[in-house]
Amino acid sequence: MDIQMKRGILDICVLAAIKKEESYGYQIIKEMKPYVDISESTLYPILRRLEANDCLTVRSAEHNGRLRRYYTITQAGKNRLKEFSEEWKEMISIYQFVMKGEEDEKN
Amino acid sequence: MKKTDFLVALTVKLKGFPEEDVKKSLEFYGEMIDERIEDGMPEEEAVAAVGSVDEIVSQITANTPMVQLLKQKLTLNRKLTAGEKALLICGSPLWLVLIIAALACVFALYVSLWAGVVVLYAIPVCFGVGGVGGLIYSVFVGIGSTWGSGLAFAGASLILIGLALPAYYVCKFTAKALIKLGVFFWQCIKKAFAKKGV
Repeated sequence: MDIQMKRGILDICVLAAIKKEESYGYQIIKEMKPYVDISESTLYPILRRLEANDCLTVRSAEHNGRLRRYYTITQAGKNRLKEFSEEWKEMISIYQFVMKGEEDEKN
Repeated sequence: MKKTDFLVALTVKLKGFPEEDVKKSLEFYGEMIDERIEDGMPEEEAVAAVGSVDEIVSQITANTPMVQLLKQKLTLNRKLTAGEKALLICGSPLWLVLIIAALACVFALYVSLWAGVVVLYAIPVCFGVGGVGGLIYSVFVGIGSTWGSGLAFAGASLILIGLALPAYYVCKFTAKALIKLGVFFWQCIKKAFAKKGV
């Protein structure tokens, strides 16, 4: 997959992981694991980028005697998810068109 | 590797990066190791699962803008003394020229890279356009001169058109490789810049 496209999709996956309620790094990885294989070294720049783009906010809270960082989606993040779902509808129709062409070739 | 050893190794490798970024990275990876340990994983396994230090440094390098690295390098933690200021002013004809030359080199490399990409894509376009043009011209050659030379011209033009598609794929592959090479060198420059002082 194209690097830029994969990067954009991973951004969306992270936003989707925190869209219902705030979450922390390890939980995000665990939630994404069944769908996308993502490592800590991949997740970290994504979280930094999303924070820089105001798509999420970060707060630290004490957990078992140490600090844990919680990530919360912002309105800009929600808007980005909405834009993605709109764009994806278009992508699906393009995909169906491409697959239709391939099926016609087989027949 | 133990968590503390991992964090020390990461700190060493991140020397030269903005302090705030280093602090945040250490906090993040420290937290990730703690989470895995809390999940029942032995410490060594938790550290290994987070990824190698080199992999993490590569990701951070790729995501730290050059401007930020420059800013960090050029920011001094103390005020310059009068002597240092004088030396800086007196030496400006030398260091200023060197900085301009270095920037000009980087710019020239950047322009060369994209010029290479444009040239690569121009090759199949030339084949295609030349072939189509030649095919049209072959009609005039056939009418104005002999049919034999017209046919030869048309044949050569068809070969050119036929070469355009494979040339496009070869040039596209080469152009992508060239861009990847450029990105790789840029990352190397950033890494070297982060490690060495100015």
